[in-house]
Amino acid sequence: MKTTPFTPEESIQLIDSIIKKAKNRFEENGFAFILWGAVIAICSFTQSYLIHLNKASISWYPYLIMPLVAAFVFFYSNKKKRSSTSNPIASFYGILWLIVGINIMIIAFGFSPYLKENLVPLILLLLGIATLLSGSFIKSRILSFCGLILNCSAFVAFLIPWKDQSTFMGILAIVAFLIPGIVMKLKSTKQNV
Amino acid sequence: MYKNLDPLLHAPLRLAIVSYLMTHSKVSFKVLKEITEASSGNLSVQLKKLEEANYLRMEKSFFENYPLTQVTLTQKGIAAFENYVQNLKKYL
Repeated sequence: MKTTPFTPEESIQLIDSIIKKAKNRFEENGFAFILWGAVIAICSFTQSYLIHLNKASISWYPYLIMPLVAAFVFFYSNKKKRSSTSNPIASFYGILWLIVGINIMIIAFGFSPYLKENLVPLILLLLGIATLLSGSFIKSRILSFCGLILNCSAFVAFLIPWKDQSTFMGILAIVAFLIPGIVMKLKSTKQNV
Repeated sequence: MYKNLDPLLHAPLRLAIVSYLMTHSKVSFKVLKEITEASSGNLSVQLKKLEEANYLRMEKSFFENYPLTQVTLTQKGIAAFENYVQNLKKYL
């Protein structure tokens, strides 16, 4: 970086480049998508397998790992925040996913007997809205696109028989969370080289 | 030369620091070093100048046995940056 005084044009260029850097720093967060994509996919496929083994009554057991993963992510993000940086976008992002996560846990563990086959579509709807909002807010095309896929898939899920809904959710976790997460991670690694 | 421009902000490294802090509530020294690509020594000197002018506040603590310096922009710093940008527009 230059150390001598500079022109107003250079000033504007510098401010612009720093704001772009600030935005890019937030796009590095591919880790949470990879983790949640993998966890949701594993839980969903295990549930699907248990349903096909006629063990529907215990098929929700794999999801008991979710609160543990959520606690790990919460601990990890707090640790990262303490040691590095925080900005309004990151705070909004964190609060949005915290609220959505808590609501998903409540409806999944507390209201599944009432919601029955509407549970998976409802979870997909919440995930879709949160992903779409996140993508629009940080101007990430890949996230917005994934949010749109999840949002539309939620309506499709209402039409799918309940026995196949978990397989559908597993596939969506890979398509809309895991793969974009890997893309974001690779992109950030490339930027930092 | 540019009379209306705050000389404290009209220097590339200090402007980069304040610009970054405008979009972040709290930033570590390590992150600022990565963003500005400045040397530790130069960054420390410039941060000190901004702190002396009360544009920012530095908090020193320990994180996992390592020293951690976190920087926050003060209200005076925010106002100075906004004023700087307003004055900058006159030259464009």
